[in-house]
Amino acid sequence: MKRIDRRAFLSRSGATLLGTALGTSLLTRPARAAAGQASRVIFFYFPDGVVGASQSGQPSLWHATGSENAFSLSPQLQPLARHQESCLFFRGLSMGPTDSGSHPGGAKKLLTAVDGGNGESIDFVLSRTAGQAALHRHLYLGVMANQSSASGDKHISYSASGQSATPEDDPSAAFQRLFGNGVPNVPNPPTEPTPNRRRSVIDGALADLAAFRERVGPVELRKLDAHLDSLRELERRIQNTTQPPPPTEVCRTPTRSTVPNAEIYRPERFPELLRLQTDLLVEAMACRLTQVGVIQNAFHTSDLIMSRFPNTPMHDPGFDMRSHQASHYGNQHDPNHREYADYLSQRIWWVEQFAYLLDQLKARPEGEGTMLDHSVVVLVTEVCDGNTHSHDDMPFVLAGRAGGAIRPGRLLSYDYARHGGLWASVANAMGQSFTGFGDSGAGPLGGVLG
Amino acid sequence: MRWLYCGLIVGLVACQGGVSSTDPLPPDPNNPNPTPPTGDDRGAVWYGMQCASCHGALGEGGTAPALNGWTKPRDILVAVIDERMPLGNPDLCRGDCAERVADYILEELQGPLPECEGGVPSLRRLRLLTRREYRHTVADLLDAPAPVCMAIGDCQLETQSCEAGLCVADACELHTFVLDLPDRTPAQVVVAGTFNGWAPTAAQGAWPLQRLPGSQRWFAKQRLPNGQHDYKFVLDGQEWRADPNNPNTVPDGQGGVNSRLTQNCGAEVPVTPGADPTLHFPVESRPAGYFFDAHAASGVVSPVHVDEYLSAAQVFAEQVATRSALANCRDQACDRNFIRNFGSRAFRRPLSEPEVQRYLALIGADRAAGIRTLIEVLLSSPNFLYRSELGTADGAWFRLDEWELASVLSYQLWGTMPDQALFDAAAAGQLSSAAGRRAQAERLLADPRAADHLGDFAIDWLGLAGVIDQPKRGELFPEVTPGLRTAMLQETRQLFADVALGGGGYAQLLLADYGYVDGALARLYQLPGTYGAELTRANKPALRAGILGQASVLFAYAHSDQGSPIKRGVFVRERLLCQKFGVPPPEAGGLPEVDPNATTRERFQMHSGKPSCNACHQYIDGVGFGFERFDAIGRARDQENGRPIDDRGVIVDLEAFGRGTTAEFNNLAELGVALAQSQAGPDCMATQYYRFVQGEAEGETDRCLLQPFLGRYRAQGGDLRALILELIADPAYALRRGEP
Repeated sequence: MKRIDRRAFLSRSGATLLGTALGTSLLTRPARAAAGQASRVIFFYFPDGVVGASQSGQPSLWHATGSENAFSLSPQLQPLARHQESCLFFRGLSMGPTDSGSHPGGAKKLLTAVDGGNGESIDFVLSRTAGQAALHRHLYLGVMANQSSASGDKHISYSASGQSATPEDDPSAAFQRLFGNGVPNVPNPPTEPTPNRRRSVIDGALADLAAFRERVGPVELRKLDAHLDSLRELERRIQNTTQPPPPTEVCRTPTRSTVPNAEIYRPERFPELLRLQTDLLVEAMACRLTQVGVIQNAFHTSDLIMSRFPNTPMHDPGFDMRSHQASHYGNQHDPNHREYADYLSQRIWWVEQFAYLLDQLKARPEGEGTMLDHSVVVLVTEVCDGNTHSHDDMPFVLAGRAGGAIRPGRLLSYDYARHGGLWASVANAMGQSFTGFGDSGAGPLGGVLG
Repeated sequence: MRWLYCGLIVGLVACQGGVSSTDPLPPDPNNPNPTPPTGDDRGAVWYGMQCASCHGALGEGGTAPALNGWTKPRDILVAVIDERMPLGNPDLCRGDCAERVADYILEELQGPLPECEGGVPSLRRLRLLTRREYRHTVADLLDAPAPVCMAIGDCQLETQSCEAGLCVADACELHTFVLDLPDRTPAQVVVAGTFNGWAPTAAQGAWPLQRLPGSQRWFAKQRLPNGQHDYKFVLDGQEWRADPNNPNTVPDGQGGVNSRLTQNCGAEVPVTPGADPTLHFPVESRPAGYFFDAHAASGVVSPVHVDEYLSAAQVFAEQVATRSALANCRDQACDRNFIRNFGSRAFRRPLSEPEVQRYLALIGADRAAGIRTLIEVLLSSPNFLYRSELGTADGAWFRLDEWELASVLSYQLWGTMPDQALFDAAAAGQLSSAAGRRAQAERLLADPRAADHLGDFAIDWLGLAGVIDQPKRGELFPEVTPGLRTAMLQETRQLFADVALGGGGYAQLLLADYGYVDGALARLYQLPGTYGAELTRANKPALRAGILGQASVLFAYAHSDQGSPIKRGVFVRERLLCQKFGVPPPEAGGLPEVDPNATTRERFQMHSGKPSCNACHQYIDGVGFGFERFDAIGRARDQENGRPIDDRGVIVDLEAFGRGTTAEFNNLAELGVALAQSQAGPDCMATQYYRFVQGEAEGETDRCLLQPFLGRYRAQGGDLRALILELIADPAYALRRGEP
């Protein structure tokens, strides 16, 4: 089926453009060159939305309320109170009308800002551009994100149009790949074969790839070029381990995971696994091994039994309450309704895990401040209210100062602005001058930078 | 069950256009928001995006009725599209869209469909080995059967030992001393040297040699540490001799020479028997709606892949370096021979002379390191990692060569590399002919590996892999153990092997009155009699006929604490009938309060009450109710919450949505009968098998490749084995098409 266009258009399409135009005119700050830029970006995903505006019309219990510089946090955002001055909160961001009301539709648009996932996601684009010099260009970690053969639209990161990547669910495997050789500037004896031997292997593979390249057409060529890129990344890594990069202030080998591979899909282990993956990602970034990271928690509509997470508010050994099950809490916010109560405590728990990530980044000094000051960290999920599956008023949070490019501690309100603009702003904060991204239309989201 | 409505269906695929993996360009970040299609062809564009995946690109039908052959007035078509289409999301095409799409349908999609004379073959491509294929391939590559022996004399003395009836290559550290004494037979022969203090007799610490029975050859195998070792043989405690087979000598300070050997073995990486080399390989990427792991277009090598391939190759290099014939080659001819043989098997085609030279050059002065590098290079090469289906140009198409065909056959039927017989057939040029391919295919199908591979297909097709780790509440279901889970899956694999290879056909899949059980599974099924630890065939109650009554299905499509009519209904439609549901409408949520004391059936009543829910749920709920007899782990029950089980149901539009048929049934077995007698059922199994083999998701295969075979296949009762052989014998099997 030939794809000429990627949009399904309604009679609402006029409103889309109008909405975008209004969105950028409400905040008239142009995207001027930022004072500094972010060294790294992290996307932190949790599934199945939040308690937003109810079907019956009650106001959202997620979004902060107030004015740009004087606002108050909602119950679900309370865990971020200690980071309030480091965060940007949003109202009025939309992922557009296509597939609205759908979990998979939302997941496909989330990081690509293109309907149907027919585009490269922002994390992969940044790994090729701002993050291309890093030893590991792209780090995609998951917690139970591959369970039950999840694939396709369950994964939020797209390495190419229509092709989602798969995250690494086992912290031991991720550790081995990142720190297995010993950290570059910490004297651990390497256990790997000599760099020369590895180089021979890579050279051999490159030569064989060259032979194939002559025989194939453009579609297969893309595959081979991706293989080539991957080999070159490994080559670079090998060259680097022989010449350690300049030391950083804080770079230590993180704790090894003790969760056996056979247990990485037991719900009881989830909080522990997420902690391990978060620590691993922060350490990898502190050691300058990567600049682009994605943490994916489970996936939309999964059977993730959150009531089995030990030592959490929603823990209940007597009853299995799943994330998606709780998200359909009914058409109104009713604290006496079990699904609603569990859903609310689940969402607060997700935000607390995001706050922990910010804690870790804030705890490490960098330059004149902390790692968080030089980062962009984004909290995402694939729908707004879990019951209505709305793709409007998306519950995103952006944390970090991006080296001065971003002035956090504000509530930014838009009138139906497309979320691709936010990704363009993130890219700009990383020093990439995108005038748009995916569906962003008029350009980067006004007001984010500066 | 409150959360259940149209929006919840697991594995939804948007009917109005799924993801396309052939779209070449990422979005241009500088491109402003594109406008709706405005050209004169926008009807065609919208049709392609929103209608084709259900109604067919040519309007030939599929999940939804054919539009080719529309006889009613135009206004009715416009109204249907405007108000009701796409299914489940009618707002998407209103007004101008509805008008233009209707015009397109009436102008372009009427008239007879082109006859299928033959289809357009699949694209030429490289197919990356999946984890499963990689595992099987290296196991076959590295574990070639060893010659059988009774005693060490039956093996190659210098490099092998006889262990448990097999000649096994010695580890590198094990050095074999050999001395031939054709003219005398001493009472004792020992080897004395720097490693044991030059003792002249065994009593003083020298290492005794033993005589090979029926010969004048003496030998000893000893572990030596790395480094230089000087030695001599001592006969009868007095006569000292240097090793005549060792050219390296040094003066012994007494006018003679000592023999000198240098041991240089790399650190042996311990290989845990049974360890899975692919444990940390990345999970295969594939599009939503494709049930298998070998999606051809998605097999792309990421940096994580490269890392893992190199690590795995390192482990295998140790194995080969220390335990194969290459370790003990003494001349270049031997090296060459090994490289040619091993390399050809690794690449699944003969090596060219330049390739042999290139790999030979890797074994330099440091032999131990060179061998390891060589093996790592071979196992990291794209020639090993990809299966080539590129072919060479031949008229309008590309023709696969004998070697490519050998791999296509072996990976299709066994999921692994060709065996020697298949390589021999390729070398003899037999696979280019239909008869030759057919003969090999019949041989492969008769091997147990074929049944095993078909079992893999069945588990993936039916979506049962999660049975292994899906949580179930322990206090409700204490009988669930890892052994029970494995037995459930094994039962399904064996039944499917019967169906596919035993001539039972599709009907057997749905109607089989037997299963395969061990003790635990028999207890679950409440079968009389006693069963052991091995699975044996046993008759099952009528209500549990076929695949629908198997524990694996009932277990997988349920929650941790209760069954699920929705999951089971969707299973039947998506997996057994290949029917897909579209994206739910916005705000499909909003569930009215539900009485927790109501029965399952009553609780789902609200689906039929709301049109936006009912659009999809009319097809699901009625089918799912048929499973009510069986709980979350597949046990049978007679009542739920004190009310008797009501497992009657109805199947709406069995063959395709929109046909307007309804069929009632009284229980699960009757549902099975309806499926067994359908056309959509066997067609779905054949279609899924084809996608499994070709690595192509829906819409990626030309409809005329499979279509011509389906009529005959159905007429033969859905005989999968016969279909497999026909497809293999077809000329298109050996062809691929180039990219435009």
